[in-house]
Amino acid sequence: MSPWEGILTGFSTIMQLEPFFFCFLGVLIGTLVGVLPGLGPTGACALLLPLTFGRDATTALVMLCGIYYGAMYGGSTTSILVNVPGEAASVVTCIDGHQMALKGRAGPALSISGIGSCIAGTMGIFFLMLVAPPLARAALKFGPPEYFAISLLGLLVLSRLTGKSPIKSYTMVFAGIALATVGIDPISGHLRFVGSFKKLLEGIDFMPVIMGLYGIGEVLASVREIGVTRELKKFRLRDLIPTRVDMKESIVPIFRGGIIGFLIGLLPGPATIISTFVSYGVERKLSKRPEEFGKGAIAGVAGPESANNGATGGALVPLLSLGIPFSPMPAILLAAFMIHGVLPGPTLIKNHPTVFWGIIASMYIGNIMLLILNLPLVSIFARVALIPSRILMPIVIVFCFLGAFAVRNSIFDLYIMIIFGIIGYLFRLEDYDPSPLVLGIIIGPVLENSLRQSIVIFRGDYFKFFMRPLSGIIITIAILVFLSPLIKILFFRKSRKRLP
Amino acid sequence: MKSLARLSFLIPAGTFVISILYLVECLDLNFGTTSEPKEGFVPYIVGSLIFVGSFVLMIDAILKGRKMTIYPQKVGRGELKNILMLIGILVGYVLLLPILGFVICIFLLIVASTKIMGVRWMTIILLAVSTTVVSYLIFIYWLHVPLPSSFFM
Repeated sequence: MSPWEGILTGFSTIMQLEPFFFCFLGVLIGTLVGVLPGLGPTGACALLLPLTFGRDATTALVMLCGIYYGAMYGGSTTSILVNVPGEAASVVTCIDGHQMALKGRAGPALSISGIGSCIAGTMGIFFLMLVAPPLARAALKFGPPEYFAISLLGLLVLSRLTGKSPIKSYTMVFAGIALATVGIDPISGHLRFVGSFKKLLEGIDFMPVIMGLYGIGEVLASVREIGVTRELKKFRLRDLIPTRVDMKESIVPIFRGGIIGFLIGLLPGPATIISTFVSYGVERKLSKRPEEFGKGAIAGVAGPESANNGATGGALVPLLSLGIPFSPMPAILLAAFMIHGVLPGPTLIKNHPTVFWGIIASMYIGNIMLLILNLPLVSIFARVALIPSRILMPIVIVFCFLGAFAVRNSIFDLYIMIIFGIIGYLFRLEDYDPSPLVLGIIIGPVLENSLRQSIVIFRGDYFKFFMRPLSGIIITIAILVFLSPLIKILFFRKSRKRLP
Repeated sequence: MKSLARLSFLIPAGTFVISILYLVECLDLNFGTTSEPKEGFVPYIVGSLIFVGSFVLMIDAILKGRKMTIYPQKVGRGELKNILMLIGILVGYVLLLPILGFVICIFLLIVASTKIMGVRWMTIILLAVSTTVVSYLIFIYWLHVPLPSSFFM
């Protein structure tokens, strides 16, 4: 099936009442989640996963994807109007976006942010549509060594890109892999780390862990915000129409941001966040007036807000073509796929073309819905950010418990969620990023199984990993990434010695 | 000793202790051989890596702590009290869920958690009733999610 046949199939799937409604619901919830500081799209998708039960796979995934890219739109609203990022990928927008609002230019900031998000989001989907199918076809030839190499590289790159300390991140990744070993070994059937707790036979599911770290952890952290009030910058609706000068200064950063975002989205790690920082740096470097950055430069809003939407498309490529999520949000989508009996990866496009193309088509439609929703109704969404956390957080707790229980109907999962909620709160106090732990739990089983299968295939000859071109190259890159802090120290030591 | 009470030491120390327990449990698993790995192969490796990583972080925290003269307090007493009460409410919810069922527990959870957050009684009752009704309609009535009902029903 060519991409054009596929996308037509996708549109015909989506343009029915139920998937269309759930697409709208997803983008609406995504916008609200993006506007509300604290609860990001990962936590929201985890909590709202039970809403998809009873729906078909396409409808379920359309809604969850809508929450994902919808949050990227919503986050900029509070960044610009309240100087509080709605979610992490909108932190950079606070720098110039709020400055524009202080100068009475909130309207152009909001409109350029929305238009840029729509254009770049559409670009990201277009590239996804072109890249995912050939990658999936190539991945059909992958064996256990290639899957081991990709999983290893993914975890190591993620560890290097998250958090301030590589040792903290590596330790968290290994801790995640260790948690994933609890339960029944899938190859030999032996029990591991179960002890007398029969409930551990099923292992530790990553959904309660995610809900704990991102949901309950956030609730506990919000206790410190009791009594905090926020102020909303006012603007006029007619100011939302950007001027010709605004569009001229923004259009190139928008396209550049979309490309940067998509390419970074392909990499493991918090792509939506990293892409905004990279885009901001690029725009400042290339600008003819770099001194305006930090004081209300419109390119400082256009580039990053486009990049985070472009990144959502890129982040879906490894999940849809290889079946390996490279960040927590695609991991939730992986859970949704599995709950609905669909296996993402190389066989997804072949076996479930309506699901794949339905998701793609829904993202095109969803981006348009978001532009229509966000611009005229932006003042309503902005007011949602003013709801005090002491009202909102108890509702979040309810959804956390419902979501965690509904996954396996297990009270034990609720205890797991509370434990990881406490851990998530402690992580926030000490600057530990929870992403490596989460990815360790999710990718750990793939890593372990593919490693053990590869060793048996190679009969203990580890050099054969390097004799297969793809696994050899990827493992070499992984080793370099792992040793990069050491290489940096040695290289700098030699450079310092050479200086007079 | 005051430096050791800091979270920056306690978190890696806790991880270090857990890694030791994990490695002790690994003794019951079969490592296999380097050409035929068994169920203990990966646990031994990751357990050792966590042991080393958490040990390094612990030593780093001790060395940093020695250089510090003032230890910043990350959590105030009032905040700690509220956090502990909230955790107690969450655990209480899970304990009562099989006995009282979903509907009553949701109501009590909202009442208790909003009371800690300092919300007025009128708002608490309104929020608790509306959240319980909406949750019931969405999850039980619409989605038919099998949530626990009361022991008495």
